[in-house]
Amino acid sequence: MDQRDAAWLRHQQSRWLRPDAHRWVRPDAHRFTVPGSVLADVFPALARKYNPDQPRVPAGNSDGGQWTDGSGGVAKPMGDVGFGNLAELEDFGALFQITPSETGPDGVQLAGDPPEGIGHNQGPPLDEPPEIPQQRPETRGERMNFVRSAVSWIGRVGRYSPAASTFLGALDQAEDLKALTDAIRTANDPPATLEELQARAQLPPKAGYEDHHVVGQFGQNRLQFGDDLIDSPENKVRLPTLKHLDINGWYSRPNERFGGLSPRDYLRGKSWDEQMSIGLEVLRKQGALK
Amino acid sequence: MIENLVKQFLSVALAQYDAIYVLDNRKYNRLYARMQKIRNELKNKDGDQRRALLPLLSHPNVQVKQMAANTLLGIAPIPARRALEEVKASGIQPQSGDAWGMIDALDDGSFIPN
Repeated sequence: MDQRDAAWLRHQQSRWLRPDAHRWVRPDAHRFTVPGSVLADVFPALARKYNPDQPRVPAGNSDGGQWTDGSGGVAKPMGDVGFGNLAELEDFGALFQITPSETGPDGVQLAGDPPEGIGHNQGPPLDEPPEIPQQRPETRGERMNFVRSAVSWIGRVGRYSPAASTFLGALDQAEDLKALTDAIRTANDPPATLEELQARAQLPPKAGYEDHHVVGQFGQNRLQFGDDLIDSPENKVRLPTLKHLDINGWYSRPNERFGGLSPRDYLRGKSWDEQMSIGLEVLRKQGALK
Repeated sequence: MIENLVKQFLSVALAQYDAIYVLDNRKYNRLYARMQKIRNELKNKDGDQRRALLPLLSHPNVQVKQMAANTLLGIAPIPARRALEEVKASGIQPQSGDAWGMIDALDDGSFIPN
């Protein structure tokens, strides 16, 4: 088992130890079990969660209405939950709804269509991945549309899900799409601390990432602050390529908050501290910085 | 006439969303200039007709909602701010982060709507 598989499995196991683990089980999970098997045997926690006959603490009690195991106490979180006969399942990956029904802390939605349908706070996303082009799309718009669609889909199914791994594996076969694939692969990275982002910028270049100057490296800033400060380790962070493009785009577009100027124009001539403050703020608010 | 300006506003905002989606900043800048003209036309009508944009605060597209909110902050601050909060909560970038920045700027007084 390679490291990624091990990490994915650990992630799934940690979910199954959560008191709300039932959220990751598809409502039609029985389709994936061995014919004749009882779903509750495979997922005892699911049965406990949803059994309509499970007793409740009587009204009037301080715990009134809460589920109980019948022993007189309130039902506790599940504790050690076994995987049952999952090993016998033919379609292991499809069983799990990889994306929880609420936005988790380890994913950031980039520009794109909001989640729709059953995946939007109602259950697992069931949509298909975007079609992989046979060759590199000719126009920037076509390329960005594909990248955004892929990133958005991966964000919905989960970056470590088998479906995402399969999709990225297929993309890896298309040499023409390598740069796009690298950008897609890293775009759903979770936010990191400033120290982490700075440390990464000191490492050799890595596909799917670009280095970003928190205080912009345009000519006037280099004259104002000097190359040493602009290129200092404190001022450089490494970001996923798509995030870097989005943040550069933000700096270039007129912004109401800055009187209709682009942030880059607004910041020209401003102090180092003010430029750094806004630079860190946009990293945080665009989901790159914790 | 006013209804037509609102339609134009909506159309431009949707095109802005598309331009951001594919990172076409040059196109976005042209669209932004067009939107400013529409805003000024609405503002200069008798009684400041920017309020005609109020229905766009509940539009499902985050760019439409955000730009309508920014336009209305000076004359309908409560629903406009609520719309910005919704854009922020959507998590759809870059609009979510932008709306968050505007809310902070309103709170710390660095942005004063007119």
